[in-house]
Amino acid sequence: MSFYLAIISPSDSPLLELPLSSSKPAPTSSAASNSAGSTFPSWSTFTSASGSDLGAPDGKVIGGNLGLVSAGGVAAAGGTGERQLMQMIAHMSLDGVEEMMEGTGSLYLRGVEKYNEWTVSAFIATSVKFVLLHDHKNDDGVRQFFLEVWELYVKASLNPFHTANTPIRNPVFEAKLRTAAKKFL
Amino acid sequence: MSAGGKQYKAIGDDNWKRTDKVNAELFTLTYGALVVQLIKDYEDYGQVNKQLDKMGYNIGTRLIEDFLARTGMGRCQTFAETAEVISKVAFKTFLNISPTVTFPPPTAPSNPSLPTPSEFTLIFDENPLAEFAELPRDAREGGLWFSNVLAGVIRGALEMIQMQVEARFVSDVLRGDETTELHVRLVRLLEEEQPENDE
Repeated sequence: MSFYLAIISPSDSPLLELPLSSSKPAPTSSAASNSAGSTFPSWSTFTSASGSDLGAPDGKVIGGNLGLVSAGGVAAAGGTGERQLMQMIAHMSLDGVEEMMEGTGSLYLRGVEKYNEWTVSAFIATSVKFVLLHDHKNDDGVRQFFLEVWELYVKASLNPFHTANTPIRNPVFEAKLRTAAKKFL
Repeated sequence: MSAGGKQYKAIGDDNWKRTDKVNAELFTLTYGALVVQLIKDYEDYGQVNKQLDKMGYNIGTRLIEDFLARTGMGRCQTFAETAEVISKVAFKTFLNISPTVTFPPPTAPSNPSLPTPSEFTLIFDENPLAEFAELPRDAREGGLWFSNVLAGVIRGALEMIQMQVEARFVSDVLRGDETTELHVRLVRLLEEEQPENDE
């Protein structure tokens, strides 16, 4: 099972991106449960995707200037190509997240969108959004994971050396995120 | 010394109960903002340490009056007693923490005019000033002592009661060390003189 967590600031710039792989075995044995790289479907999603998927939604800034040129190389084996795809999926779903956010009052939005085999879930922590891409259903675990992430994020932002809404480059924070991921996902 | 220790602890606890409290997070955030602003202004970690020490000195010279008024304790007989009072009564009253006091083994050529022991180390297992702080790498390499204001406070306070000391941090968990330790060394006992100018 593999995941991809993105923390997005209110101005839609990414504060943290973290690809993860879970230690728990997948409930269904469909995909091979190796590292994050190999579970990705080997066929390129771009050759078969409709034109609307490729176009960036209006008003969204795709973080990191990944561009569609580099995404075209996804058909080749894993590595950075997939990561950029996951980043793009996460950001594309922000529109859907915001729509759902206005509908419900709860903080945790599960299954905002499905994209091929990836489900996108989001958690709105007031101004900051946590977006998680996951391939298997695990609602309770994901929810608890989001709450953990929220706590860790609050503690990290209380650091006097961290300026608000800048990318978080704190190795301690990342290490704690990974242990939380192993615990809940 | 243990009977005196218990007594000091009781005095410290009692003082803490009687003082007004302020929100701990607000205090921590205020101190953190102060340090970050000093870093932005001076851009040199050695200077920031010095400024924190100066600020602590100014706080300490005033704090000692408050402390003596609150506790009404008499003169300490030995420097070791001073160390105990600082850790069990003073830190408890003002920060609600109790650092541990250790005395390093006496080195051979000690100054005969000074009372022995003439130095001690405070070991902090928790530090409310640095509750959520994580030092960035260049602060760690530049030698920043985040809680250096405490060293200044001790220096200022003891100077008002006729003891000139040198106080400095020797290790800090924020820097990656195992413990946070503050070393205090008695330099000399002062005669009654005019107080030093506030800087």
